[in-house]
Amino acid sequence: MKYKILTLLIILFLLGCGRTPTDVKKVASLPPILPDYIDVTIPPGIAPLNFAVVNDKEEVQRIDVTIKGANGDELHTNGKYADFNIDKWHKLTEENRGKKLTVSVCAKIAGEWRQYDDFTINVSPYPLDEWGLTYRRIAPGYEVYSKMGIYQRDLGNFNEFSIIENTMTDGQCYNCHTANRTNPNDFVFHVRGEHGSTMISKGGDCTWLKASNDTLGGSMVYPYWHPSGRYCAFSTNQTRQGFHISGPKRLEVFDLSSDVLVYDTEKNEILLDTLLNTKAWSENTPSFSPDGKWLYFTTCYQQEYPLKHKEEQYNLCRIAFDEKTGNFGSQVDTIFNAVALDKSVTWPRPSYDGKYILFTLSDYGYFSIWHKESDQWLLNTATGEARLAEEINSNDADSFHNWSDNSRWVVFTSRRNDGLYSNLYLTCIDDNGYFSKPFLLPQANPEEYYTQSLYSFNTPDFTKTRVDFNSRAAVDAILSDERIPAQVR
Amino acid sequence: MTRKIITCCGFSLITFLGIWLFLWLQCPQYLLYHEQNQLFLFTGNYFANSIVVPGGMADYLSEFVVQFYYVPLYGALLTAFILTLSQVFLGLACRRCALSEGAYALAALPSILYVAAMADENTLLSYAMAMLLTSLSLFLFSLYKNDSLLSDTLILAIGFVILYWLAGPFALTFIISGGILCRRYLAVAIALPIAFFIIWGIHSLWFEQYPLSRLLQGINYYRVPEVYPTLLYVNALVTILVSLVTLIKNRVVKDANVISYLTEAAVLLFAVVYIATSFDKDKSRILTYNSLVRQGRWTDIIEKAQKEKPTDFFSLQAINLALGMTGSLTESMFQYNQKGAEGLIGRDRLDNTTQLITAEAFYRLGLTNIAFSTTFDLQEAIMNDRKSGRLMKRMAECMLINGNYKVAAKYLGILRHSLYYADWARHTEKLLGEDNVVEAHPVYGPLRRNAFKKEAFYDSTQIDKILAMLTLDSDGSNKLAWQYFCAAAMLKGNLTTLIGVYNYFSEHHTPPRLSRHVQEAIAMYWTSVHQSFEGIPFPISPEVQQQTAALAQAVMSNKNNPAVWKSVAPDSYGVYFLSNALTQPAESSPEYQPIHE
Repeated sequence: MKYKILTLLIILFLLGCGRTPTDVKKVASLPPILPDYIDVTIPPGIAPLNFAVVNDKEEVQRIDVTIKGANGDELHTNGKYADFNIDKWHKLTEENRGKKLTVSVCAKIAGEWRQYDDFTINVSPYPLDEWGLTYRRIAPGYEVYSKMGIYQRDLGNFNEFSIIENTMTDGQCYNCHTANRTNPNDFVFHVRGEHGSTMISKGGDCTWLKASNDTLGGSMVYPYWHPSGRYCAFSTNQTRQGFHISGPKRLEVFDLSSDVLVYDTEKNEILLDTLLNTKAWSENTPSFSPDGKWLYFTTCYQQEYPLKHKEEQYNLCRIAFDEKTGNFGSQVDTIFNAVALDKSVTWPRPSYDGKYILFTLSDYGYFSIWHKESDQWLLNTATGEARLAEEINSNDADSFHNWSDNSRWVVFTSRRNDGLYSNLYLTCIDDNGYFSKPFLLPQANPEEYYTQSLYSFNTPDFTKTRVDFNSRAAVDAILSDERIPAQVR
Repeated sequence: MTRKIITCCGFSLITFLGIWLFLWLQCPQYLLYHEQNQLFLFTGNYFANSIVVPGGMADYLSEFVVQFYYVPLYGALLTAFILTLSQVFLGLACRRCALSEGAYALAALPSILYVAAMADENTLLSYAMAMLLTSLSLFLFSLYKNDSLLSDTLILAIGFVILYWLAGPFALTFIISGGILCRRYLAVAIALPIAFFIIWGIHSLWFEQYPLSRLLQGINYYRVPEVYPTLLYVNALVTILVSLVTLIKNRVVKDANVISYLTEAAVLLFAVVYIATSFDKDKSRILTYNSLVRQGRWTDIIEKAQKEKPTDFFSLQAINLALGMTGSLTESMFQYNQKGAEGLIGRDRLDNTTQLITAEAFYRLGLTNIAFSTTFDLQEAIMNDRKSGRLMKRMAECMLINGNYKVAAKYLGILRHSLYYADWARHTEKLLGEDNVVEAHPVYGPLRRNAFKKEAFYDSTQIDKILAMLTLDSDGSNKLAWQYFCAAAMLKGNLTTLIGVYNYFSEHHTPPRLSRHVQEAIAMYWTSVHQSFEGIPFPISPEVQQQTAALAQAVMSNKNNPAVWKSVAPDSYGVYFLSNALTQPAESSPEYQPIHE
């Protein structure tokens, strides 16, 4: 009997051998982890920040990670990468709202356990009330795309669900899925190509509009909802692409013309205004203020393309909007004069509390994801001052963004990982208008996911609840080509 | 009994050898084409992503096999093995049902039809794998004997569910053929509606992102989703008919051996005739040029072109690239049926094939950004959403040359999980971040140095001007760019730019040697404004001067008789130029027709 026990003990010892840190050597540096979650700020209840330790020269055989809360509670994991139990992670983050988590990392490299300096993860006191994110996932291609679609992701775990994929319609392209202030009951998206259309969904009722309207001179793209849910603003970009022959730039997107319009979902009417439909200027990327009284948009002097594409620089402007009559004001105000800085504004997104407008600034143009120099800027609506949001920017393209409903969290796209594939980052804004260090959208096995993924994430937004969308019915509608022409008022 | 076994084995061996040798010796270009349209990875993710769809196991196994198409000898061997095994299992299943001797040979028909279907380059091996899994299931089913209708029905229905998930909708033939082989027609009548109901249920519950038709036709039997060739339906039908043949013996056939031999002979004869007539020569030629360019077999391309003189753009692009790579583009390009600058650099097309040679030319010329974007789009245009080892390798190379090491590392990291690209990827990873090493690299170094340096947008209609700038950027050291520029200028008749660039080099650098066709072009240009060659400031050989003068004379006196003046200066630029100006273009061979763009 005792031999059996001895044998069992030997087996257990051998199995355990090398799995837990022994003879640990201290390393006076922070652990080289992927993704970089060191000192980031997260909302309670977010999916676990799983990570890997990376070492270019030697294989990381195993890691051992312990996370301690401020109250002494712990979470431990040991494996090829840090893979935390979701329920325990949620419990730990909920119990440490507004406090710091201390992370201790040991890595076994070349047969030797190394103990790195501890780092912290801040748990924000501000909740992220949204269920998850919506985004389009597509290869960052040029003229062709293979599998792509609009997806939703549960932020509390790693589950992703498709809203609509182009496998359903043999290669159709979907873009610009936009909900009204993160509420998925009202949303709009645009279908490009042969069966093109703009779909407006209100409380589950879908209206399929003609993709382009001759009167408008273009499609209805880059939508943004009026807070009342009655109106939706669009621009009508007649888009062209140019391919750089030499690096590092690869692609430019510019418009032969563009105007801004507002669509009245109740009357199926397009509201135009001469101030938003000028010939000499291109109006673009509209958004409403959270009180619905202002329509923000960007505008640039229409250039000769592609020859003068670098002179295409947009300012941020606004015009009054009366939701009762659907009338526009008689004056356009310039909110941010980017041209004076020899720069160009795009994607203005007001925070829903009305305090800020987050926008992207690049050297020229508006399709900032292909501009390495593009950065996030924050405009304080009370003072009218704008500043470079250095704390969230990178050396590569930082672009499209959206706010959470409580205006505490921002999701944005960035190509900081490799310069080509855009990923999603989340950040929290404090009471002084400063952002926390952004963190990469968590994945179950993030190293494998992000090193092998050949997709870009774009047009991200928060969604209050899971999007309930009958994609089969939508596909039938897309293929039927039955479209309602919107009337121009 | 022994003789029967020997006959069966012999027949299967002949089938195996026939398919193997045919695919290896006659169709390596098809195999290489399949291989370049997928990238099998030895990762858990790849396996998991494959098997989550109906037919996913057949996809996974077939893609495992297709990676060996990189070496056509092995690829053909494995494919022949799969198809023969499929025949053996189906034949044994029929034989075990104890009726017709001829059924064993007839069981080769689906495999033969599949080989014929391979003439369509978008027919995927997943279909053959589904055939194999289904015939194996039929064989296993034939081993099982039960007298109960209920148990047979249940086995057919449950077997279908499992097989459908593994092999896809070809599994429907399992129900029908299985029912016929065990003479349970009622079981078929019950199980078949259940099967359709199950497919409908699977679609409604989990696979709404695919149209129902794709779950009925197979998600990955054919590369282009919205197309499904009739031959693939016929193949499934033939599998069912083969099982029906087992019913015939008791009623008609008396001399089993004679029938057996006759059937085998007939099947083999059918295979030879039908397969041989199924393959389209033009498509085969285009795919051959594609594979030769991929392997860098420039001399072989030129030898092949000298025999065939093709006129389609794809082949011409391959020939011109081969001539350029061997330094003879502007010496001998007009020996071939040139028809404009599109035979040099193709215009934008959005399928996964047409721009392959153009992408290769961009890369070799030093137009690295455009090579990357074209290659990226070629990969994205693979209609069953697979990636490509060949194209990803090229994308990694472009990123290395451009100095974007992070993206290069991403591609190399993925290729490390493959079989045939892994060694290359590991070796190339050593270059990451090492600018000095890249610059000293025999291939990447010159391509980095010779890259297009000015900021400009690509426009295929302005290719001669882009090539002129590329040539000037490299101060003439980019010999391929110089050849391509001269060729493009000549093909577009833009001789003013050609002479201008030559003059620039003459003034600022050592003037480039004027190759034969360039001399002919300049001589043509000169004679259009001068009476004689006296005082010509270009080094035009007396022979070219004489030939040009003779051609001009011949055209003047035989304007309506091209055969006469063409014979004065055969294979010269002058004849090309005047043919385009004075006569109708010659009939072209068919272009590559993508099924989907």
